[in-house]
Amino acid sequence: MGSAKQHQQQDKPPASSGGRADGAALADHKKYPLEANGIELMLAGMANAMSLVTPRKGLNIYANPVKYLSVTASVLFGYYAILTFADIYCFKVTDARRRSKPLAARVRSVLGMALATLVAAAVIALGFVLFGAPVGSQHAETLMAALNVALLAVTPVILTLKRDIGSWRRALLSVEAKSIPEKWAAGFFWCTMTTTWAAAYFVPMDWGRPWQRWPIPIVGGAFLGNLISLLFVALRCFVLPMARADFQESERIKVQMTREPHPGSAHPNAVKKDQ
Amino acid sequence: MVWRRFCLLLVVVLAELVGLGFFIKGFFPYKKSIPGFASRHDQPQDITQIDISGIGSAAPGAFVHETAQYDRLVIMLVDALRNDFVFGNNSAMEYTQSLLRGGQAVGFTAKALAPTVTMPRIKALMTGTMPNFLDAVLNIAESDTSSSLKYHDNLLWQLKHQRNKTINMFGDDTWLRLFPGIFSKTDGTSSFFVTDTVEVDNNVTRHVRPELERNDWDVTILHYLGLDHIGHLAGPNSPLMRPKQKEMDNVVKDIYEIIRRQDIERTKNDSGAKPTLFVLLGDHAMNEIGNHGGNSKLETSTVFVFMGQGIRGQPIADEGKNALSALLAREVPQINLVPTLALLFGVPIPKNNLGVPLQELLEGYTEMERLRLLQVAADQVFGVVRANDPSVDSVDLVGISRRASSLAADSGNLDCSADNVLRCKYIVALELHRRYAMADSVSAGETERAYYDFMEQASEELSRAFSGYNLSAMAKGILVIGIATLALVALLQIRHGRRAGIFDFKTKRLVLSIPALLLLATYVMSNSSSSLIEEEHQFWYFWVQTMLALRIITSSSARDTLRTGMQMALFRIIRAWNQTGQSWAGEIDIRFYLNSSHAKHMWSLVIATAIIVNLYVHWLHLRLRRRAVLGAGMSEGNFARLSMCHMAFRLLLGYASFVALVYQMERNSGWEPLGVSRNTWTLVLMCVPSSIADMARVVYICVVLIGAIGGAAAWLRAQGNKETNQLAGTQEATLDMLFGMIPLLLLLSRPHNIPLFALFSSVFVLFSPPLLPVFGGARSRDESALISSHSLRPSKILVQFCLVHASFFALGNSNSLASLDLSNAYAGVSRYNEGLVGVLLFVSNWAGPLWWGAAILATAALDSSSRKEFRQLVAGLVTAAQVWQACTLLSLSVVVALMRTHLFIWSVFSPRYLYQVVWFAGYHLLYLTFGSLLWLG
Repeated sequence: MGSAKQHQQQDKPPASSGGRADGAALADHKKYPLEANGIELMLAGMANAMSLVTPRKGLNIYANPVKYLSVTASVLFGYYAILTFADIYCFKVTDARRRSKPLAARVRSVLGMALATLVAAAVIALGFVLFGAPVGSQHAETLMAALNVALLAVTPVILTLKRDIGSWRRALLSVEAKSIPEKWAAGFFWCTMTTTWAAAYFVPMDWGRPWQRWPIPIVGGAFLGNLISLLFVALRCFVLPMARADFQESERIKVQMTREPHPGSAHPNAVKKDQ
Repeated sequence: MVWRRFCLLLVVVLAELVGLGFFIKGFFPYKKSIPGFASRHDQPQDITQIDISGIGSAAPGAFVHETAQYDRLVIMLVDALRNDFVFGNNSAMEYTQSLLRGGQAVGFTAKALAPTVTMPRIKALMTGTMPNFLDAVLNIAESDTSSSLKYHDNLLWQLKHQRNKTINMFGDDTWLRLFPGIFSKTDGTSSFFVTDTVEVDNNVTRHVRPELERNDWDVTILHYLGLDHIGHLAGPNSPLMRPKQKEMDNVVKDIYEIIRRQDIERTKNDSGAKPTLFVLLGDHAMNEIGNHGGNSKLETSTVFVFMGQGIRGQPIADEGKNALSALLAREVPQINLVPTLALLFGVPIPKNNLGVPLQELLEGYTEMERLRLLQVAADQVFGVVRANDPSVDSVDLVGISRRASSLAADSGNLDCSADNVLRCKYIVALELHRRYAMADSVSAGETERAYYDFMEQASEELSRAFSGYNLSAMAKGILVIGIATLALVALLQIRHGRRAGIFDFKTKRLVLSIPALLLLATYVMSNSSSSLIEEEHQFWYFWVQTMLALRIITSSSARDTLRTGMQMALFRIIRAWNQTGQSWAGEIDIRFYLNSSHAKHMWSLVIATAIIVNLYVHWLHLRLRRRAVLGAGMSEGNFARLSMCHMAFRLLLGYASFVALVYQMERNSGWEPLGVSRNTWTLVLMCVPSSIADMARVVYICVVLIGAIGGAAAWLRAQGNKETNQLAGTQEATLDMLFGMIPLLLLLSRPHNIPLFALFSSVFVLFSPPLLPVFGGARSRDESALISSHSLRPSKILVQFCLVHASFFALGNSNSLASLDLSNAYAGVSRYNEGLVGVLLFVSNWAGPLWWGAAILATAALDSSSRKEFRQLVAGLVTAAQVWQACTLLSLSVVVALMRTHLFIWSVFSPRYLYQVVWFAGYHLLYLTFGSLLWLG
């Protein structure tokens, strides 16, 4: 999570640039056609659910968390790999470009995604240890948990922001106005991370439940956080900008209509009066 | 301005103290105990023998010991023996059950009172009192030997001193600590190794045959721990449980057969010999998962089984599994054992006993004798009633006898409404007793009932008074604490200078940072969870790392990120040093390695810590002197004096650290693992005072001198009118204090904890670039105190405040009284002095928080731009700390009041509350608030 950091500080209060942010959001909305994204969100929810459901007998998270988590990680990775390979992860530009991408480039982007996810998993595993994960034992558990959390929290960031370090910094580490992909990335990353963090409170409780064993609460928190971020991101990146765009569009039409009055139906109020 | 605020703060905090007093008075009941030991001369005159003519002394009544029914006693205490383990249908104790069914034994379900842990239960079983929670606490405050029952009247003392019994004890060594000098032969086993379920019991059983076969004992006590250990390990349904019950049953069989054979022989040889009584009992029971400590029905239901000649129970014809289920409901208070055994063995009943003799066991007496015994018992209980309520008059036996004689046989009872009810009941019983002796119109049964009526009611009322809560006092306390908390919040809110405050109404912005608010909210919530209290260290470790991670996320420079990352790594090591709490306390930690296989490394680290601290102070002084040269306004003479002061400071620091190290190594033989030869060590010892107490005293003197010299240096530095010099003086003085107190902490810490202070120092200097020899850089000005530019960025002081708490746990403390470290509370103290030992106990256990408190002060000084700003900052910080404390105390008070019937009230919440009292009075009030006065002047 700390891999992208720049040295200069740019802490501008967001309140002062509110008007500009709206304009920028509208521009982003125009820049990124949103064709595949409804499917994408549904798919993400399904992948999340699928990876949690026990597919087979004998795959028990309490009995063998490492095996279970490797299955969930594989499902998640497969989901991202398919989206990356088909180049239909959200905010893609045009169908023409999508079709024209050569096979080697597609494989390369899948590999790049895998590599970046592994690096993120390593960083997250280190973070787990710093926050108190066992050092002398349960290495596989810690690593698999980190891999799952990385897939849920960091891979969406990798896939949306690519190699744009400035964008990474703006999305994850600042309160500046963000573009829609940055909002998308920040939503996934911070929702998932915060829930993962909060889920750690269940570890020291003395309820003696099997799901309190390391690292089950953490991973559970990450999955829950990911589901929350799906809703959050859907609202923040699609519903709100679209609603805003619609609203602005209708306002614009209204303004137009008031400027060029038609006889009889000049004002909306006048229309109402007629009825 | 600062002073006025400070006085206001003090007034509010004192009000809070008053509220705390109310609460404690309502929550921890206080009882009055009668000092001294009962003797046979204390016994009341026999009411039937009183000469009502009133002239001349009455004929002395029969002493109780003349009516003793037993000579010898075997107590077999099986730890955590729940009633269904003996009486239940799944019990493996077949022999005991067959005795009960055959009427050769009498069984009861004995009800223990909370706290259901071994030591208070043994106290209850031997004194007949109800040791409450406060007893346990006060015992810690007292010296180790006086936590015993040496000065409390108890059954064993009576048996030993009144009847000259020889008492042997095998089993749990708690008894040896409780009754020093009572036992003739002992073999104590420690209850420390909970994982051992076999050897602890074999160590006891191997004594049973050899020792009982000899004829040189009168009382033998056997305390078996294995069953309790099985409960803790695997619960009452463990597969180990039935074999263990079987094992206990075999011991019962052995003992029963030995004493029966011996009794036959003894009565053959000596017609005056009386038989042996054998009691099987449990101290407490266990709940459904095998733990105990609380007040649930399962934990408090243990057993009494009385066996031996003269014990006649009701034979039960039923051979079925549930034959004894009636005994599960036959409940008697556990403390009833005391008067019963006292009467059966003819010794005076211990003075503070609240138990009532068990009627079933007094069957062997004649009616006359039995009533006399009941009179003795009732008189003793009446003594306790009078001790606790001085308004109750004594009873006039002669007057009662006269009136009883003058009363017609059925002229009605006394009117009890005007008098104290208990006293009246006692008088009624005495009158009946007298009339029974004179005429036959009163039956013995009626008299007996009257005595029991009195004793049971008295016992019940006194128990309630001793163990109940005073809810109105608790409510008053909570109210006062709540008002004080609000006042403190208001005090923090009122702006002073341009800092602190909570919410700025003008700009509508939160002044207190979001992490601080989040921390407070989660902490207050976590106080209601017993596991988060037990594992509070996890909370703080997690939050320290969270705060540091937040600082990384919001950091503005790569160097800052690097430094904070190093702090996180260092803190991860600190966290692994001591495992503490409950659930994971047994896990292997660094302390374990240092104390077992790596003692050499431990002592190397200890020495390295002292050297590093001294070298660092040397470097720091050089640097500060350079700054002083550069800064203007210091005269030549003052500069020379300042250098002298620094030199003296370093020399004293070095010597004090050296003496503290030698003290630790001499006390713990640390020179042996280091491979230092005896001769070399003798040479080293020549450099320090000869006795270990004197070494500690030298360290104390050195630390006081260090403080004085540090103060002098600060004064010299602040000379001249320049504001920068004044600020520099303060900054240097706070740093000197921070490192000057290290020898004291070296002296008062356990050796394996000493390296932690090097780690703490490293974490501290990483906060402030000017203090760093490497990775330095300019101090960023957005860092100051409580506010920072980024709303999510925790200030240094906030992180250090988390470290105050985290370091408390990192040194191995927890919220359990068991983790209180007494080993260093006597350093340099030759005679027991409550105040002094209390202070040392506080310093040795709160060493981490004390050091980090000073670190916060130093940070505040380093981050201030003027002396005035520093003073305002300190005043604000003290208020903020008091707000934090008040919120914690308030939440804990409410939680404790709401959970007063909770299972964990005595094992978790009450100790936590007491720790909070010490945090409040010792740390926040005396140390932080009054300590900061030094810096406000």
